Amino acid sequence: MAAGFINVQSNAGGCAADLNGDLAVDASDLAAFLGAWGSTGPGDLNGDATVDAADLSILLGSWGPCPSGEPALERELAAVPLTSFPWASFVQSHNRGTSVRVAVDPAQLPALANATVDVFVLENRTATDWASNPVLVDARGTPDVVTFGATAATSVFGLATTSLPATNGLNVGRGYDLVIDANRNGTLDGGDVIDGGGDGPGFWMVTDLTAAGPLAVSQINSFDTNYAPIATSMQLERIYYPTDIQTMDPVPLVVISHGNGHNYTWYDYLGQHLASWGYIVMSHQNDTVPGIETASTTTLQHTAAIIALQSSIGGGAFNGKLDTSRIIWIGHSRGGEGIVRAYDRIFDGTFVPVNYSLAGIKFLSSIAPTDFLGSASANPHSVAYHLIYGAADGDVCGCPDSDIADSFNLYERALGERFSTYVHGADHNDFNCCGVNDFAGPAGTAILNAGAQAVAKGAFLAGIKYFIDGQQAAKEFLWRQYEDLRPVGVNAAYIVDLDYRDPAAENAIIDDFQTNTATSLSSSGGSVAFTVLNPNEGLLNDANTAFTWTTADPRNGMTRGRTTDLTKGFLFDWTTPSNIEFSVVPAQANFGAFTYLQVRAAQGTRHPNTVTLNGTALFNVTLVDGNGVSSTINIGAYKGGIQRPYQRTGYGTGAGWQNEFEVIRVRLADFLTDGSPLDLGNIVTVRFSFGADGASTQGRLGFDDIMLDKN
Amino acid sequence: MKIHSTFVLSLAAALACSSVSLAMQAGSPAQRPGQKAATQSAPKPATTPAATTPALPPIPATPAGIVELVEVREFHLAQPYEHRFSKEKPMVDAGFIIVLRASSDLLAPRQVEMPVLMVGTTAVEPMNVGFASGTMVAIVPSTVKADGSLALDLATSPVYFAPPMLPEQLDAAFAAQQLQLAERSGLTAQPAAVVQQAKTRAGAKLELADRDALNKVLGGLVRRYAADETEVADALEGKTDSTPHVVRP
Repeated sequence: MAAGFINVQSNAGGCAADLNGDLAVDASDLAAFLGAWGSTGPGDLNGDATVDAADLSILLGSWGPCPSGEPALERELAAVPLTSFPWASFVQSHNRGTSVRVAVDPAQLPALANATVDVFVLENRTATDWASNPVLVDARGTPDVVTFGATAATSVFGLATTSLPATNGLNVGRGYDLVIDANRNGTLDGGDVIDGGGDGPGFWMVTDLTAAGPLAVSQINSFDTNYAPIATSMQLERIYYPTDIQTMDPVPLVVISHGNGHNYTWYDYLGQHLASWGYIVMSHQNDTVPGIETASTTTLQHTAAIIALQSSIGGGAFNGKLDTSRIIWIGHSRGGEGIVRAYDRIFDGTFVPVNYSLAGIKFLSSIAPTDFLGSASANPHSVAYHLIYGAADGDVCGCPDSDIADSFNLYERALGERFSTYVHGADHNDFNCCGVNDFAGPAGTAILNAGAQAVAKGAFLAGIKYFIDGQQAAKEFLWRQYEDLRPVGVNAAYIVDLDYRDPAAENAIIDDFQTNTATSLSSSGGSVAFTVLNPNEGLLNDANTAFTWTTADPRNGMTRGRTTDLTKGFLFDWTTPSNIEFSVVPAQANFGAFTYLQVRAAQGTRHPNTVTLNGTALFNVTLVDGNGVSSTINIGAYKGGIQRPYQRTGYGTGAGWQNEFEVIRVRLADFLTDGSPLDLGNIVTVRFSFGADGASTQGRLGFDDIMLDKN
Repeated sequence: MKIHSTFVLSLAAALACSSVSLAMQAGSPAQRPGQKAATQSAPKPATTPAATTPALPPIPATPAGIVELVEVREFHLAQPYEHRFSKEKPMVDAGFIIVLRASSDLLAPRQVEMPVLMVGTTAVEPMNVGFASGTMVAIVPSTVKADGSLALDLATSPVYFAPPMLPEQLDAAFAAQQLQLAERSGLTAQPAAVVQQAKTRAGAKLELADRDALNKVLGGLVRRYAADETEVADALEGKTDSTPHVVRP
């Protein structure tokens, strides 16, 4: 992955003062430099965080053409095309069988305007590899020949990558570097541009996340642990593992805890899938009928049992191959709450595991969990957490009249990195093989077991590969609009909303609405001005027992917290052009230190504006710098938008179920497209606008977690 | 594959169920755990099923009675086990195995609105789901009197489904409230003759070593009365398969 257009340090040591990338240090660079005087950049050539006289000295010392032998420029090049500004979305993950685009912005790389170049796709090389071997060898045999236009809009070209392999052992992605060989000499050198010049690749070709992995899988249908701490009638496990596990290093353990009235044998689809990708998976009898505490106990004890008994299970088939420092718990319904309670019990010190530890539990994933125990006990704390939920769930229904049935309460309590997968047309038991049919959605929208399980396999694999194995190729499947990127095996017509948040260390919160609860003040301390209607800030809890819209319940449809929970957000509506402006506090003004601006948003179910809109909601995001320069992107450019609520009926009049938060991440460098002079080092305002210029003419939205993100 | 609600009660059973339901309507329904107080006038339907798709049965009204007490068999264990279906979690060394028939609405497996099967003030331990067969096998713990007989009398303690709750949160006081609620709604114990007939049908008192031995008996009953729940029966009977099989070459 390239460092990005905004990182001028990426070619420091070479022709660092060539601020506009035209391979010369000249008057245009000096003008840009002087415009940034006193700021943090661009133009901070000595890296002391200030553009000053010392930097000017460096710039003047490098005046003139960049010397020959200069290294190639590192830039984002691999992209998907957009039909409007910013014309290309520079992403890393591309599904196998697709055409990766090469995109440049001639305003930032003027040497490439109208230039005919060779575009090489190469197997990923490390920085060291590149230093020792700059010869370009295209993975496809021959490079593409491309003639760029004069603008960003005319400089996006499809590459012949549809046959490019994505297979890469247990990695879900295969990395490639992308090189624009501007001088067409077959060597990476001065004047060329590379995406992937560091150790990481420029882009990933990603295999079908719903398809089986490369490993043969063995299964033990019913192993009786006879493990004394477990209740006598709850001792069985079904285990899935790579057949050749003894040739492998220890692998993570995935534990599956079923729901009430379910069976431990009902998750073959998931167990076999994950085992084929290199995990040992154990599904156990789960004591859900008495309640959540007992369910959590069986999760805790079965985890201990498989570790303790590994030498005797299946003749010791995977003995010594369980990596107890990487444990994943997946639970369904009562079991989905049970795993969270189990984690909470260890966290609180009320349960002490004998052969694993809290630190070893790296990732929890709940399938439509209940919330019997509430804020203090059904709490994932800071562990990586995932929630997958079917919008047609007829059991844990997300209904407004019962907190127990509101799965997203647990998600909102998660303080660490987290993502959610909200699946239209899926019901509660679509996520196992054999549960009763509880479908409660509109006729004709059911995606049935096969559809829901395809989504689930993709989500679980992406989550585990990213959170547990650190595979970057999987990450974009956690947050990109499903309309833009979905696993190959998922039907293109399915509607899925994704929410995502990185760990706090990678974020800078502009407003998460948790503090400074006046609508005029952000949680980061900046002022908030708005012309939208009916602004309301508060607990994301539907305050009555129906989904019918009423002004008395401004957070209608927000079934995401109990009265004892803390999660808050901001709701508003509009029928004319209007906006919300967040003033950026000086300490956060340097957006150049981040990669994305993100917000999560949800349409307000059954609100008259939502009903009239009857479709995806779009809005514009504008950044304004200290010089008054602004740049605007419509979120619709990236495909998708804020989904219309699933048109399920019940709980009052009208159609539309609970509010569906999904994340929108806008790449900050995209605001600089077409030569925008916006200074990302000094942003003073973030504006969201509605009702005009490509934004929906009316609507009602909930906003939350407006933040900057590094990754 | 989904299991659809195809189980149809016999006419006699349906009539019996209806009479129980009518008696029950006199009772005042309890607020469900976690349920919000209504702040506006709003209908409170069950989850709305799509009209054209088979669906989980509507959430039944509770407390509600059973259709038939099929078998009752007394058991005693040499080694007690913990009863996990109450807050107090007593140790159990005796009780009844019961087999009952009930409305599939009450037996349908649910996560949130799952009625709790009780006998008197005791939450029983269900051994199978019973949704398709309409038949449930369960353990009813009982203390033992000085003369060796069981303290629990099924001819004086009603068998009923209490409103949804988590049995593990059920303490003695709350259990007593559930019984009062059931009795106020008109539910009564099974007639002594019915209990005796069920005992006769089941066979002699069991003297067993431990819960494992009891499970094997329960497994046989599940296999007999709930033939669709083979996996449950196998598990109870200890029929395991711990041999690795290659399922994906």
